[in-house]
Amino acid sequence: MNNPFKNIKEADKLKAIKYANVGGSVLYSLFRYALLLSIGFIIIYPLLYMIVTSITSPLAFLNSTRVWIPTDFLIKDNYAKALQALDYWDSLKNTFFYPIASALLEVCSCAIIGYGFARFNFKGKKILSGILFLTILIPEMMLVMPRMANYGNLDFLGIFGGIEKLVEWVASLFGSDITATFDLTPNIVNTGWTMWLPSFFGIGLRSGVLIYIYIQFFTGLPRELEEAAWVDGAGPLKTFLKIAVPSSSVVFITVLVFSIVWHWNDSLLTSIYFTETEPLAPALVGAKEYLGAAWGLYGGKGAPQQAAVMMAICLLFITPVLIFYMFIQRGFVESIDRVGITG
Amino acid sequence: MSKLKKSRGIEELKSRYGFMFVLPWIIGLVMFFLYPLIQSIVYSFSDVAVSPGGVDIKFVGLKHYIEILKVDQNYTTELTTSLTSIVYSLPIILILSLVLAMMLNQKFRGRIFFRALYFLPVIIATGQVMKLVFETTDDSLTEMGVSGGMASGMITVEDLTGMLNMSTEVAKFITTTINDIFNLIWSCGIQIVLYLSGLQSIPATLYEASRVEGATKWEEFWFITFPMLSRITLLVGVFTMVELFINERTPLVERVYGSMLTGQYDKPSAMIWLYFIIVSAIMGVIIFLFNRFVMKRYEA
Amino acid sequence: MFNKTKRIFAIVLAVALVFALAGCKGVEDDGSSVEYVIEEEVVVQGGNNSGTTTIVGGNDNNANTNDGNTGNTGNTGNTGNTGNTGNTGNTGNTGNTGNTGNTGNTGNTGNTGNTGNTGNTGNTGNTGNTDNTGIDYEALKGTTVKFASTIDPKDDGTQYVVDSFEEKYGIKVEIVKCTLPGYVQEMQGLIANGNAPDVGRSNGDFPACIAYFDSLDKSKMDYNDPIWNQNTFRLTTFNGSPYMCDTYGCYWTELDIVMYSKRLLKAAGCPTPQELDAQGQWTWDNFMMIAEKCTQKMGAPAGCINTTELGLHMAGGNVFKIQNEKIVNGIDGKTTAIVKKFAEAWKKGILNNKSTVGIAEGTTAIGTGHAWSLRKDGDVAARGAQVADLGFYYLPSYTAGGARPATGIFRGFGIMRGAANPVGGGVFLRHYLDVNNYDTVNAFINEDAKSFFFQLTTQDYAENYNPYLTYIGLNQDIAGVNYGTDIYGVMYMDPSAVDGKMAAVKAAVDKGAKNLNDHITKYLYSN
Repeated sequence: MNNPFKNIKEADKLKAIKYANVGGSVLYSLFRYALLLSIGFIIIYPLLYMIVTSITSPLAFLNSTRVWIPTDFLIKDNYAKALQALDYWDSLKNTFFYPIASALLEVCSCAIIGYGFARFNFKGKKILSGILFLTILIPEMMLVMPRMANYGNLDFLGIFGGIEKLVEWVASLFGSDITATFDLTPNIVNTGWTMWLPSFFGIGLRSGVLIYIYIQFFTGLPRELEEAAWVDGAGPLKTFLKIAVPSSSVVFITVLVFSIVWHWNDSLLTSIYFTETEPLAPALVGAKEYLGAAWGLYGGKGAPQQAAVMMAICLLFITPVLIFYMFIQRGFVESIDRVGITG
Repeated sequence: MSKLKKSRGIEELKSRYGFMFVLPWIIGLVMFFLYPLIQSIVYSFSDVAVSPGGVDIKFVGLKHYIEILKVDQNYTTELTTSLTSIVYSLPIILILSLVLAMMLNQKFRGRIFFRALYFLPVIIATGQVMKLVFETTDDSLTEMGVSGGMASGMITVEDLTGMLNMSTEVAKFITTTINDIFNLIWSCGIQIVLYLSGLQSIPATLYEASRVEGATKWEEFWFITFPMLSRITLLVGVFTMVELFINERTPLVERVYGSMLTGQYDKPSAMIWLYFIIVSAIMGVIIFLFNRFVMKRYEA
Repeated sequence: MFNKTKRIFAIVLAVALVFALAGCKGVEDDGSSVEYVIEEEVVVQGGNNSGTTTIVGGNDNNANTNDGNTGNTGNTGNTGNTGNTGNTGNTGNTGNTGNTGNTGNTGNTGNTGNTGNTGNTGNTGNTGNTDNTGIDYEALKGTTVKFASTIDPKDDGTQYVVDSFEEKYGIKVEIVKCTLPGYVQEMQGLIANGNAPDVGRSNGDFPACIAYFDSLDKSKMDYNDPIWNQNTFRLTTFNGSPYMCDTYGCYWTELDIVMYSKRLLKAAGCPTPQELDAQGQWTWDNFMMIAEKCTQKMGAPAGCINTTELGLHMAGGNVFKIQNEKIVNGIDGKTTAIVKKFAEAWKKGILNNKSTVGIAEGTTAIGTGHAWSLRKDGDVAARGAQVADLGFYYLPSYTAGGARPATGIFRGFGIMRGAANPVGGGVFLRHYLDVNNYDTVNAFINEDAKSFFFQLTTQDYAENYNPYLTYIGLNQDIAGVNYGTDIYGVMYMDPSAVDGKMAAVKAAVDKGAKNLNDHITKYLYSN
């Protein structure tokens, strides 16, 4: 059998250590910077475009010699219009209250479910794993219509509806009419429950993927600590909360970031579920129409101010998430470095 | 003997506990997933009309499936286009994100900035923002027949034909290729993050040991990194496949979504269920092969 | 052993990478060499009355209050309309002075709507006095009407009309927020779970709107009220009752027009459409002649049909036609000839595809626009056009002396299925769509535009009215046909290839018509 580790000279070994520590020779690090920067440029280009376009004024657009630095600025008006088109502060409040809250719920509930899959063997686990896979595969769009039809009268296997009818029948026997106040199958459309409930039960937006990430992570955790806790008499919940969770800060942050980004960007579900107050994503979708209706701003070469305001709108839309990510990814890196050392 | 009983008791206890952990999920499944799912399947076998108080279903059997396979001339071509695009994109995305993650994992100045940068596409591209940005940058390109994309802002067909005197065909090809590269890089964000966290969880002691032994970088990768990443690779692979599958830019999915947005639920459901079955078959095969040949060998 | 498998693995990986990169090209192939783009720009109506209007008589529109209605005798509930002397009982549209001219419009036979506008004697319902609907307005007081609109009236400047409605009838209006691309699905979702709105708008997606509109009978509106646009009723009647409504001269009514640059036409030595029409020679051939002459003079394509696809309809051709409560294939010999004409025009290079942007910029000499282009907030003026240079006229007829095509985006309002308050919804529509309730003093780019707008949109076109159903392609997925490539693409081909393609186009239209009819049948006749 070939042993790739033999026949290595002493000098080469030292060299290997040096390379490993520095991360490569100068040439390699130049190459690395070049590659990362060029790909990075591709990534950041739209963002730069957005920023630059959103601060230009219509006059500068007509000056075709400008490429990056606009010759004329119009920041205040563009952004004022953008704020109004999105109804920003209201929409932001709604976004935190509905989608983001359900994102947080999702992160927690998926952790519990993932732990159950990862650490325990129960009857029907294989079938449930298959269904989990199905949950990952099936896009939300397919289930929207049946779910919406049910949300008018939220029911669980018809049980609540049955109970309600029973109670009404009994009440009618006594001659009283309590149908108006007793409603076990509520109409939850337009309330936050349309998003909170599924997330609480682990069927939120892309929950399947998050559960899968948790499963992969928890399976990789060393069992020794948990076994020790078991022996000491801790119940499963306590084990989970006191042992598994603290070691999983990496995956929690990862999942949190994913979930928040997905919920923030979700315009499909939020536009269907909410008809009175809008979170930010549907407001973004309707922004183009708003610009036309409110200020007569249309696209095309003739009126470039629409492009400027649209870019301002897009920037306003992604800024909160960007700020969130900037803050949290520092914790990401730190916890990553910490975890790597154990084991 | 009592020991046996005890262990069996523990096993049973554990399995009951496990069940309790996933019980909320099961409840949620029934209410929010399985019931709508079955209804969606039923839709694909019936004529669906929405009326006040519910959805009217008229069972018609295999009519829609036959229709999309025989009558609709676009479906089969769209199907093959979508599937081949998945097969093309999957290896590139996996390899590219692994390479980038490995680079970002090393200690160099500015790595935090770069890590933040590479996640940016995920924040921006998963929503409607990219579509809106495309629409504003896409000026005269549609006349030239090149579909819009960010590349249109960076290099335009006119630049290529004008400055470098290329023919329109070559210019179009280059622009579309750059477009595709652009799209691929933009789809790598989540994969890079997952690979990063996977790379981070490989204990540094392994690397140190191998360095002491004098392993080259190449050997280090194949014998330490790659095996330790096998579970993560499976996760990333599954995730990427699903993303590609339900990516809205594939013509099939675009058509299905467009139909559902305009109130059609029967035929699009049939279209997408057929698509599902084929894609899950493919995914199942890939995962099985992966488990068999890679995981077994490099069981971590 | 390890080395060998490792090497093989690496080689396979490298080969796969090469193949994958090579396959890059095929990833985003859009399948067509020319993108046939149906103008995706949403034509949204909205008149923002903030900040720029100056009203004689000093009534500030922004205040949207009932006070300050100097000179508005008898104008209760109306805002901002001054100087309406002589319009007793009228809800005071100064714009209506233009309408009085309508009675003198020769050739506008059947202007039933206009008699309602002039003198405003027939404005029943406006003052809540005599009306033939038998609606009990007292019972409606205190109810709510839910209006599913993609634009909040607060944002497009029509809030004052809503306010005046609320005040007059005591019915509260609630706006249900929705987005345009997902409109059908959102409405269906609400209908399915019992939260249906009462009133909604179809923005050119007919017959997709049959999925969420209910028969207007439910609203008990008086179909013979002179304000209602009989064109719309006629085309949306199924099973004996109409499903969509629209009013004459309404804010959202759409009919297409021709716009031209006076300066450019003069420079090329062309007669204006008005002059041609005076001699009875305002035809499409002359339109193309003007475009050609101006192209030669300007050195760049100077004609524009907004867009070429819709131009097929503006020239009198048809793709889908609504006939006898069904959607039929409207392609006939005339349509084929028109297609050939466009193909030739494209070959000659006299048309550009800039749509109304070109008119606004002043680079298009003669082109087509919408009725809405006549407004200050419309797509031409808002893009900075030189208003003094703009001329506009009716669409030309196909043959000299023939009838002019009357076509446009097929828009309308209606009562939703499962509406809780359909009668209140009908009353709301009657009020909200009544142009008399709007202030049109400064809504148009100039006085000529305003009078032309009213002339254009307050007629009963009878069989001549053929709106296009393919705008934006909102019902494209129902039809199962790609409007751009399968139908309109033939207009861009070489003229000699047109005949060969027409058979395929007809087949596509047949298929689309069948699917659209199936959609209607599913919702209307299988109850």
